[in-house]
Amino acid sequence: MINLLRRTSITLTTAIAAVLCTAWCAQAELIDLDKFDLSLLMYARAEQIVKSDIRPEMGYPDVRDMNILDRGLYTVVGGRLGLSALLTERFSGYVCFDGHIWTQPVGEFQPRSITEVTSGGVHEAWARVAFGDIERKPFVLTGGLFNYRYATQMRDLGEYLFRSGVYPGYVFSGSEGYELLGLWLKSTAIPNMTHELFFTSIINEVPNFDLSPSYVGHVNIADVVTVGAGIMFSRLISVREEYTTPDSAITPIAREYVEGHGNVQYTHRGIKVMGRIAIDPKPLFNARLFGPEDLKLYAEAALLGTKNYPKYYEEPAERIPVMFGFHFPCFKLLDVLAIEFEYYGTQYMNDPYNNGVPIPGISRGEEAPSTDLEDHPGDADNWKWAIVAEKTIIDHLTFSAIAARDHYRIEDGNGYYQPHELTVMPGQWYWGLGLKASF
Amino acid sequence: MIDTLRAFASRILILQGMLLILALPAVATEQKDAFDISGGFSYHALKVVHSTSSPSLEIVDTTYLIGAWLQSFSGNLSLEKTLANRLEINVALSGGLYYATQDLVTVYFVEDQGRRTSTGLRGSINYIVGDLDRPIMEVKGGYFDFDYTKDLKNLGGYLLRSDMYPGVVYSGGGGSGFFGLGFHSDYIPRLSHDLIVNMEMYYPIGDISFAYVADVDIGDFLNVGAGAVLYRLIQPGDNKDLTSPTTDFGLDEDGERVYYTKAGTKVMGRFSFDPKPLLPPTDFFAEDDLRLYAEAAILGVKNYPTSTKSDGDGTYEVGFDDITERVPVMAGINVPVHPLVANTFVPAGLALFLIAIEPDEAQDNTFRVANDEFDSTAYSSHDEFRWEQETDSVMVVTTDFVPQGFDVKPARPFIWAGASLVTGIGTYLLEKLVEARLRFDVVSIEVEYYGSPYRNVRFRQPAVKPMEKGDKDDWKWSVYAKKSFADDRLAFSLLVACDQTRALDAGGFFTNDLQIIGSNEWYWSLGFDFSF
Repeated sequence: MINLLRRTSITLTTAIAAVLCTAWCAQAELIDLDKFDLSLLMYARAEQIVKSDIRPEMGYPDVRDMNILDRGLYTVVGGRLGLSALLTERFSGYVCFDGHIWTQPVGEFQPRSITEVTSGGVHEAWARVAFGDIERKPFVLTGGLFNYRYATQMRDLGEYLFRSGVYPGYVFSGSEGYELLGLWLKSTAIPNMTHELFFTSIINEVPNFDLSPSYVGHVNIADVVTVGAGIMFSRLISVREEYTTPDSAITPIAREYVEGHGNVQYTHRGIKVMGRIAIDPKPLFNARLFGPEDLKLYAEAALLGTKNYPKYYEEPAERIPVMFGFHFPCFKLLDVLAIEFEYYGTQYMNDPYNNGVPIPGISRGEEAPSTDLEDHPGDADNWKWAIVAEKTIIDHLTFSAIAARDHYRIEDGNGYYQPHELTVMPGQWYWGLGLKASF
Repeated sequence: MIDTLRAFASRILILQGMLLILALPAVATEQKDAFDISGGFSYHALKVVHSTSSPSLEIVDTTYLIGAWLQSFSGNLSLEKTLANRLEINVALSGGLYYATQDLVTVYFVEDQGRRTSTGLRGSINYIVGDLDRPIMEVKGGYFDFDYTKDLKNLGGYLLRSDMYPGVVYSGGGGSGFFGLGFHSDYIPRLSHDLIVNMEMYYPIGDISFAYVADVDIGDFLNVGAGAVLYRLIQPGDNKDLTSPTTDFGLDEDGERVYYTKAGTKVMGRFSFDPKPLLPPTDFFAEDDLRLYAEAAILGVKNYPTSTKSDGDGTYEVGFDDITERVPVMAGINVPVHPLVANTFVPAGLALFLIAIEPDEAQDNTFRVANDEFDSTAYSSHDEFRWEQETDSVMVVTTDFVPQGFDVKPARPFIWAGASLVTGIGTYLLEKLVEARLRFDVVSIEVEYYGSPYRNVRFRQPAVKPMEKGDKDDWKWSVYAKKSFADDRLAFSLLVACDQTRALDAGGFFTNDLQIIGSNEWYWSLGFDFSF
């Protein structure tokens, strides 16, 4: 079945690419507009970890149980420079660079190795072409590195389809979307429905580069209810199969003998499915007193890997993260005051890196699952929560605040995150303040 | 003499810098509003098909890179402001995502194979000297790109993109970045001169080199060029001990020590010949078709006597007494891009070539035998074998080489030839059908010979042990094709090559590690570029 899907996917992708190229070449009339716009964004955040017993990866000594992050302060100041270009009525491009200075959180214990770090690089860069009616643009194809969100009402938790991995399953949180590298075809041809197809390369987690086709769709019912669903064939096309499904001769633990099942071959490849709903009751009554984001109620669930495997992945329920959230009425005093909860019943640490091995609980540098209780939090870390507030003034200044026990991670200096989340157990949480200025 | 030259050159450099700075206020009153902005991005994916390279591995594994996939993405944003009629300033920002080669050994996955980001910056001030319509000279200062020939697609560019003693060459096109001053003049019709004074950005960092390049157009069918570089002529401060270490030397005929140095003189000659103006007019050829180009350089005109060194494996000779080992030569031709040629004969010929050079397949067998049962003569029937003593057993690895090429799957040449024929005719008919040019913009074949006995990697010291089978990497080749759309804003490229490709390090510079070594090793790479 998987092989059939893979072949179909490759054939379809090739056919679509050939048709698009031919269609592009056939466009003899190009209206050259060459309209350029520069945009600038300045941002600053300060976050304090109230309680944590996790040791981050970078710069900290190899000691445990020191609670070195308690009352640790993480600060970041940065800027982004973007250039957008409207080359023709159908053809546009965008490139954005980010640069920022940040510090690792430090509490009472401050290792000498902790210093401020300068990071940056390309944040987004894409080309976009529209097909069909020039006014409605029912089909838009984007290619390159782009930031994507499918549920913008979610302020911190959720959006699992892309912000997650399978075998082992893990999820992320945060207010920004997810970075995708590849192709994105969006269709709004059918009124009140949006269909999106993706063909993306894995750029942030080892094994790198595998290709995943995805579909995301949603239907809008009377501007009150939005129902969405999606599916991702994660790593359907491998650039090197022995990484995606590790060769047992090189990575013996990826092929394990399980009593009653014989030899079981584990793989990073899998299927993720997602369903979500968002309800905005304001169109049902006179809502002049409310802000556009007030009263929104939303939820999402995903299955991170539809296939069961003996021993490590026997229970589908342990691979299902579920979240729900609500935007309190703020009567335009705030743009958003959201509360969100999440339940994710995995028995293992929620870490994206497992040394490239598709079984859970492998600590950094180890070749076998850890027996350390710290790597098997069980049910203790199942619940997460976040409270988020936002207010934008004079169209350019946005203030934000957050208090949460989510999947909080510190960046790694290369545009991604260090693997360990820092607020895992009950009682561990952080709060933060943010400012964005854009023009 | 050299010291006098160095002293003179350093004064010239300082003087030129001062003149450039003094020129700024002189033209500041001539303000203009011109402001150019541009951006874009590139995506490249590379797949290694055959390689015996084992970069940075503690245990040499000559199959390590076979099948490896490398991917990179970069963006760029450039601003250019004309401050006055004669003065222009430009700044270019770039950055990207890239990765080290993924390792099969799992414990190294996290630390070495994760995503990396790079940032880059180019910036320069350009000043025009003389009449604006026909300037005597353009002066450039800062960190800028320079390419003395646009013909090169992958190999070549030896004069400015190479090291000496031992000589190291690079692939990837002719251009490179320079930090310093550049002077360009085409005041004399058909004659172009460039002088570059730049600070070296690789170890030993800070040395100053002087480069001169000139070319002349002869008719509209021939361009001939030549150049010389006084490489690392000035070694400021303590750099002299690094560039010219007093630990490495040979003995001349009189028994006197002659110290090796990484400084020296490089010379280059090149030509580009376009026969189309000599042929009857025809629509069959595209603008760049049939262009034949070549380049040769001497990476160090001075010979150094050899000396004998020794290590755990025995003694070996180091030194630079044979100038032919320091001469890289390349030649290339742009094949006609007509679909019945470029989409037919080129892929068919390339497929036959790749099948012909296919290396034998190594089949390893690893097993352990008890200490008292181990007999090292029992495995001599295998092509190769090695063993390692372990605590209570001996690990044995036997290797047998199975011939490949035309000996296996004999239908392959016919399948490739047939597929090429279909592709060529199909593209030709499709062009007729959609009334658009679907053919490539350029298809180039390049070949290089470089007979250096040393590994083609950057060494910190001049005295280096020659590599085993030093001639296995002498020949390099590449086939490059490019197709652009929308006024060159979108471009697809394909490269099949055996060249000096390298991965990037954490700073975004090329690492020392070669991905490809032998002449029968190769990779393919796909690129997509977008610019606006």
